[in-house]
Amino acid sequence: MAGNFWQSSHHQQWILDKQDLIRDRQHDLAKLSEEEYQKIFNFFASIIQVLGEQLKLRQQVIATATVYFKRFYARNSLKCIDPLLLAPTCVFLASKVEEFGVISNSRLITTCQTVIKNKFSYAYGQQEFPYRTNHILECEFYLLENLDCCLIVYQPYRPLLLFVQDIGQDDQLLTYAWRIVNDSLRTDVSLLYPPYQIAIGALHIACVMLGKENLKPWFAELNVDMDKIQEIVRSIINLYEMWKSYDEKKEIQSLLGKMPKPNPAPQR
Amino acid sequence: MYFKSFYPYENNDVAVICKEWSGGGGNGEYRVRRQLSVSSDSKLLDEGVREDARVVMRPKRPPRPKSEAFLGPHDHSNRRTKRFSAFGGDSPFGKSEAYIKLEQLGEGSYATVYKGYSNLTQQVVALKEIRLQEEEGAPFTAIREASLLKELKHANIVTLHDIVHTRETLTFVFEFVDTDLSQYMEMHPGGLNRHNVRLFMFQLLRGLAYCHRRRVLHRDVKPQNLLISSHGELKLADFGLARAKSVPSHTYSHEVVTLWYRPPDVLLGSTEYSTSLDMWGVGCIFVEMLCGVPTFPGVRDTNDQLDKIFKVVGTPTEESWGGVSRLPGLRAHVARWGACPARPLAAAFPRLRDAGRDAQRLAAALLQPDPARRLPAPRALAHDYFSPLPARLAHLPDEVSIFTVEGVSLQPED
Repeated sequence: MAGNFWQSSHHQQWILDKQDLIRDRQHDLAKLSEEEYQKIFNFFASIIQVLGEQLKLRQQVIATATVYFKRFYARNSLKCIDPLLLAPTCVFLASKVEEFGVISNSRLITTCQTVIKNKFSYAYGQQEFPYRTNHILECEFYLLENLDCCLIVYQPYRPLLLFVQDIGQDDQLLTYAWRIVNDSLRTDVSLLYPPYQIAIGALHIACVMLGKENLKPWFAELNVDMDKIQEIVRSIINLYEMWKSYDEKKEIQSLLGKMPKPNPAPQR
Repeated sequence: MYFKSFYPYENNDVAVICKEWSGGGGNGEYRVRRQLSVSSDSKLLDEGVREDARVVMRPKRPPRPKSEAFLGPHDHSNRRTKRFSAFGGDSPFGKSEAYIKLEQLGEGSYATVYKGYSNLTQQVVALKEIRLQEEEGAPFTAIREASLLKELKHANIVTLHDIVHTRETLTFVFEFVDTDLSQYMEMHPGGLNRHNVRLFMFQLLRGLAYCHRRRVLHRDVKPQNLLISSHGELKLADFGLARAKSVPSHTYSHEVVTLWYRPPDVLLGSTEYSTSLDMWGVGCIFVEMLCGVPTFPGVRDTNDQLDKIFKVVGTPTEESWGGVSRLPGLRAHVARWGACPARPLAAAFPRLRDAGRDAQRLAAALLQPDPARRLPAPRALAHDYFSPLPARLAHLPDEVSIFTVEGVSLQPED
């Protein structure tokens, strides 16, 4: 839906306040440090990304699924629903909403099993993907309700294309900025800022990377709150900083072990 | 597309980069207009209570009791065991006990609609209970309807209050509206009061113009889907077939609209329809309200429906409708059913003639066979037919009803 962002549920209900977000995460942050929490979300964003790619979904659908995932845990503790169940559920729902068509249950479950076994064995070892169709369908209800049925998510991709067009088509710039937008899904920016600001933030980073000094005037003319753009830039760069010294393959198992769990553990 | 090990800032300090481009600034229209989020309710809640309210998802929970018991708003003993709702903490919103199910109102392809009562707002509501699909989970159409209604806030579009999840069903809680246009016309046979027709038309166009501006097609405009309140407010409902239109040239499968309100281009096999699809239905409903009988009541199939239409508006030719001969269904239809000349609408529908020249012109502009020349909703709203209405109606904010304007009220039907 290309409607009006300002009147959308995305803008009116789901641009969250940073302080609220920190407060709502307090339960999880009692058990995990902020960085550990981010690393866990980084990991599940990878799962959603790989699942989406295996299912041949468009990036837009994958991005929407990732935002659903983040929105759910913005209001709920990690112990409410196992993120390993919520991740494929988000993919399932996003593919319906984005009119990709329904993914068949058996295909979804099989893909989850293969992906966990082949790509994420460093996290789950010999453990198999433990959920079945009925779990996903029930989880979908919880997800729908927690999202308050706000299913249409605006993504930075469309504004990004418009901005690059305005600058004068520059494929290299677009490619870099597009990838940075993808990476931004690993941060909280999709919960905190409108998509057009994220697009500008990504462009900004891309310009610095590519040394495009000549675009300074273009940014200067933007009628946009530059403090917000800098906050976005900082969040994304913090992610890149974190990646420099982080080996997910070595650390993720113990992080998943520390993660708050349902009590009692669900019967699988 | 995606690359994870992306370290562009090997030698740069974050702070430096952040400063580097700090030219801009400005507090223009793009500043975020932040509103209170729903979660702000949860601030008021005691942490312990919230903790209890969080219920772990257990795949094998005991089934919920089936009865629709009335549980008052102060029955906390029960509430605490319920799962965490979208509205935060143990706020009663989103809980099935918050609503009592009353009599059944209707049954659709994927849902049953009940009259209900909300213990939260002490209001009568409509509860649309969605059946789960074996393979699909929450049905596509339900998800589409809910996600669109969440984005459409308008006085002439039905409001989705809440969504409730019980063990086996998903229930949408809508505002309750007394009747629909189909029932209203049955109650008042022989054509409606012309003044009221004008008010209904204005509201229908207002709601559709709003949808179309957001590139949402309703795709199933018919009297049963237009709810009418006792004050005469008209609200578009049943967006199950509506679809967000993100790519203007997109083609859709055309087995959608009830035949009576389906435009000739779609009947002839065109799949490139757009907002003009809904506007034909508006024209049909306009004439039906004035005359008291359906405008083109086809009885059998597509060809019979086309025949009903062409007997009035004439069989299209390349002269009257450029490009029509390229539509797949035209040649076969003409070969079997022959071609009809166009008649003035006023001759086919005497009560439309009685309604005056502006009404005839508006009807003709809406019942224009060529979709490219069919009147779009915003222009229809500016039509002379509506000039007897107060000028202020054209400038009302989206969520304000036309009945808030002085002098606008429904007249009794006789």
